[in-house]
Amino acid sequence: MRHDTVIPPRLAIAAAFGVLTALLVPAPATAQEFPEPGRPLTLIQNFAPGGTIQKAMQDFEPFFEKYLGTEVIVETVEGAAGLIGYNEAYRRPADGYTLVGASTTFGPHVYPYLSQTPPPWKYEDFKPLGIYSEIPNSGMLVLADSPYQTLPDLIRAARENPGEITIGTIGPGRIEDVQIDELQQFFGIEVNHVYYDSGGTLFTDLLTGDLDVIITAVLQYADNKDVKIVTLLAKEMMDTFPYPETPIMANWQEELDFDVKDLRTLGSTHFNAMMVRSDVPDEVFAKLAEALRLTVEDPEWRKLVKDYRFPVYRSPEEAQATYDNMREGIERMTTKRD
Amino acid sequence: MNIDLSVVLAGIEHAFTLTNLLWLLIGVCLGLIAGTLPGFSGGSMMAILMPLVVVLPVDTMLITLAAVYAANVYSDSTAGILYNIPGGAAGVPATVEGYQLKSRGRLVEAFANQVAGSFFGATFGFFFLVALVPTFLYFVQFFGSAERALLAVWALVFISSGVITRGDPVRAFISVGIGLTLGLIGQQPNIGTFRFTFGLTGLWDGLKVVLVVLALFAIPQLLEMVRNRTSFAQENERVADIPFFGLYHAVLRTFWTGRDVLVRSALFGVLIGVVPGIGTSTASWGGYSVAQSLTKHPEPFGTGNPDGVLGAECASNSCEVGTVIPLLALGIPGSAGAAIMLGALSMVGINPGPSMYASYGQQVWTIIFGIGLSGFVFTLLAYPFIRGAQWMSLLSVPFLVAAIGILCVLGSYLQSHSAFGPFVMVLMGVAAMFGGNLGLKPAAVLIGFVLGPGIEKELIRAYQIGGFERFLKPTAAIILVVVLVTLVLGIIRNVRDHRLSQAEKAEAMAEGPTEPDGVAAAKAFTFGGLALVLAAALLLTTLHYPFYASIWVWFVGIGFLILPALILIRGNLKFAGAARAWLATGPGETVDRVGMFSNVIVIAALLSYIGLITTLGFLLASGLFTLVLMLVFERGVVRPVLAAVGAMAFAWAVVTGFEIYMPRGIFNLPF
Repeated sequence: MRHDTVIPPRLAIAAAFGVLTALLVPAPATAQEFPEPGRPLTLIQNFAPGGTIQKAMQDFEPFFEKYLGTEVIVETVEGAAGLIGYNEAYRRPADGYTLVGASTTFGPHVYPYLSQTPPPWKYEDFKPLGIYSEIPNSGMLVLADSPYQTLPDLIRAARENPGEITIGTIGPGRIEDVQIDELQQFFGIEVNHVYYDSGGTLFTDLLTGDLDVIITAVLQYADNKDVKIVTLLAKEMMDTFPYPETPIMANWQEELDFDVKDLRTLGSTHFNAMMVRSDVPDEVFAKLAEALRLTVEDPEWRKLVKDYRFPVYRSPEEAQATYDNMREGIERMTTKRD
Repeated sequence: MNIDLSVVLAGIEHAFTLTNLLWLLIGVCLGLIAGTLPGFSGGSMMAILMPLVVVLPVDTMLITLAAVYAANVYSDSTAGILYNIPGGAAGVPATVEGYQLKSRGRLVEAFANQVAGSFFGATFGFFFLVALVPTFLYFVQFFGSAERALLAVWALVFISSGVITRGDPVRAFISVGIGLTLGLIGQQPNIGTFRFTFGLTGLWDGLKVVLVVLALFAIPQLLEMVRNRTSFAQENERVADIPFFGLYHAVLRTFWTGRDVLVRSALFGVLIGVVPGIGTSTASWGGYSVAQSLTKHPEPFGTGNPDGVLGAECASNSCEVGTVIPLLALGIPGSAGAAIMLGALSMVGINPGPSMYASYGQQVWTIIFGIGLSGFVFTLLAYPFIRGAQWMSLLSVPFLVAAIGILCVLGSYLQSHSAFGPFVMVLMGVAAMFGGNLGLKPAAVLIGFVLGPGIEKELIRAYQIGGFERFLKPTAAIILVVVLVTLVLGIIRNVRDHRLSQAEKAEAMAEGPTEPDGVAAAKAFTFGGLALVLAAALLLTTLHYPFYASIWVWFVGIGFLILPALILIRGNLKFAGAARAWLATGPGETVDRVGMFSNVIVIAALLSYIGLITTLGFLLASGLFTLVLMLVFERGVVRPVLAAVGAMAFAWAVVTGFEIYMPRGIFNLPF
């Protein structure tokens, strides 16, 4: 059964319907205070759903709602190792209603230097509200029966067999990229560096013997009898790390003849922060930073995250200094490389 | 590996509590809905559910998610059988046969095979799960990059040389090539080069599977519906009466008659599932292929052979269950849904792997038995869901087009958090429609798209790890041999088929002169020509890319585009004269003007709709979209207005029910 095609009068009615709707719905009034009642705050989680970042943001949700007095939404904007989420945060207005997470391995200090195509924003376009979790976690992992039981073992073997030791890391586009660069430059070695896009596959290939050593978040493997933590990539041990006897970079100073203070990306803890556009108004920034501080000090929140976060509060200024330091190290490493 | 029986029993006990059974039911229902809707995968449903079910006890949460996971693969062929729109990539082969069966009035048989296959596959997979999780933990310690790569290559060869290429291997290869090309977009995983992103950040991560599936299997279908103005149900067909007992009787009978196909495809599927990353769509095509070789039904595949539905559904369900094995044994998810299960496990402090059994044995067995139960539950719910899916056919075509259009736009919007996703989907969909006219095989495109990136990634990685020698390590070498054998067998079979069809053609021509088809030749030249142009573009762009980022591009361009295109053109050269003659007379008569006009209207409406989402808000834009479509294609004013309101209510229900955040527009509508 065929119908007639377009008849203009009907389209005119449709247009009228549209216009009427537009006229009937009142435009919202602009408000001065932050946050405006009824206007939700968005926490962008920039990784795949079901991961730790989504959980972290979801755990923040009730506390930010409490301390800011407005609805909080967690929105997933994933892709390109978290870069797409930052692009989205940059795209939105700098009014304080969009926050995005950061850590040691991802954030505004990483993407502009490690992405093949630079993002539309710069490091200076984002600033931290504070650091809310810190623990040394990045480390080198080998098989329990590996011939490289200590860092000096590894360095020696790499010097004797340039390009033979295979190291796997998650990337490209993450801080491990520059950690490997620094490792090679600092100790004068050459390794075979292979990229992985998933921590699970990375670990598997260590187990199968394809990889000699991997750099990964090692805390989850601390009890695993099949593997051994060669060293944490940290300058000093922290109370938050439950295995204080684990070797840190400072342990190897004498044997490898270096000063741990000279390390940049190879000697950092794993911290998590919240980022916001840097040109948000000062009063808005202050309110957001305060909300973060109150959350970190809230015993309810601490109980909620105790299995995967290590509550430590660092103020916006301290966090800024930490990130500036990381960024300088990355910038230096990438200019040397290119 | 020691299995403590008391832990297993505790796991079973937890699976059967009333709360857990209730949530199992809810999970299955949601999984069925997710599977049926094109654009909404089980993974999306699980991702949306996760923040909600976190408040439940651990066992319950895991059972709910597992139920969604298991059920969604079953249902992604329901809409496919009824309306030729599969709900997901794994539903495609069953759709190919099932829809043909429906068109020939054998709907009950189609569904009986779907249900029987799915149930058998899921249950088979479940027993495999129980037996293999401990065993697998032992063997997989030897599987590295080269093995994974070669397994994926084998899957590509296996499928390209057998199943879908029967009857038209050359065009199928070009279609696979186009799929592989689509997979090139984004960041090269081994060295980080961005390829073919055209400066668009939305493409940095590549095209999302959802967009490709919708573009290949939903948009062209929508456009065809509008062109033909027939509803999902053809002509005056009313809702097919599916007898309750008749259906289940047919299901039981199919278990016996199809037992060969069932066992073989279930085994195939679960093995594909066990190797992470290959995916359920590959499994479903493999099951389809198994059915092809074992079938005793006389119908040629592609015209409605029920064993096609049986094998495909059986394999995809057993595969989905099979992916739980590497998930639990290694913490490696084989699919998006498995990845979310992994997230759920780590949220409750369970790190899957060999150490898992020591601490969390009971939870693991609860998940396993929850999955086993899901198979029973979704089979029991099959009948009401099929009826529910058919209710859709009572709705008017323009309204259905609008509703499906809304869901497609919603599903694609969620992939990119901007109008970019829907725009890309519509553009690709229109291209797919034109491509279909030229002989493009959408299923082949999807397979190339899904398998390609993983193959490149693992092959180069294996080479980086150990050079060419890495592929000669015993575990890898065995798989390499299997690949070569499959390739050779595939070539032999294709050459033999070609010789047979040449012989048939020669006989036909001997009986009298046949009219060379100028149109077909012109189409072949166009298709081949476009493939050559595409390949040229690919190869030229590699001049800018580093070596490692270019190898695969060369392989795709030469092997899957240039070679088949040349073969296609060469094969049609003898008809060049007829083609030129046809072009000279003008294509006038063969074009359906009214149909094209309707298509233009729908496409324009879709594009405006997408563009208006940000300004007017998703709900209002959806209402206007529906209104426009209804006004253009139906008589009267009242029904269109009611339909628009109904569409808005529908959109609101979906968005609110799943707590999806869509733009509220400049009016900041309080939805």
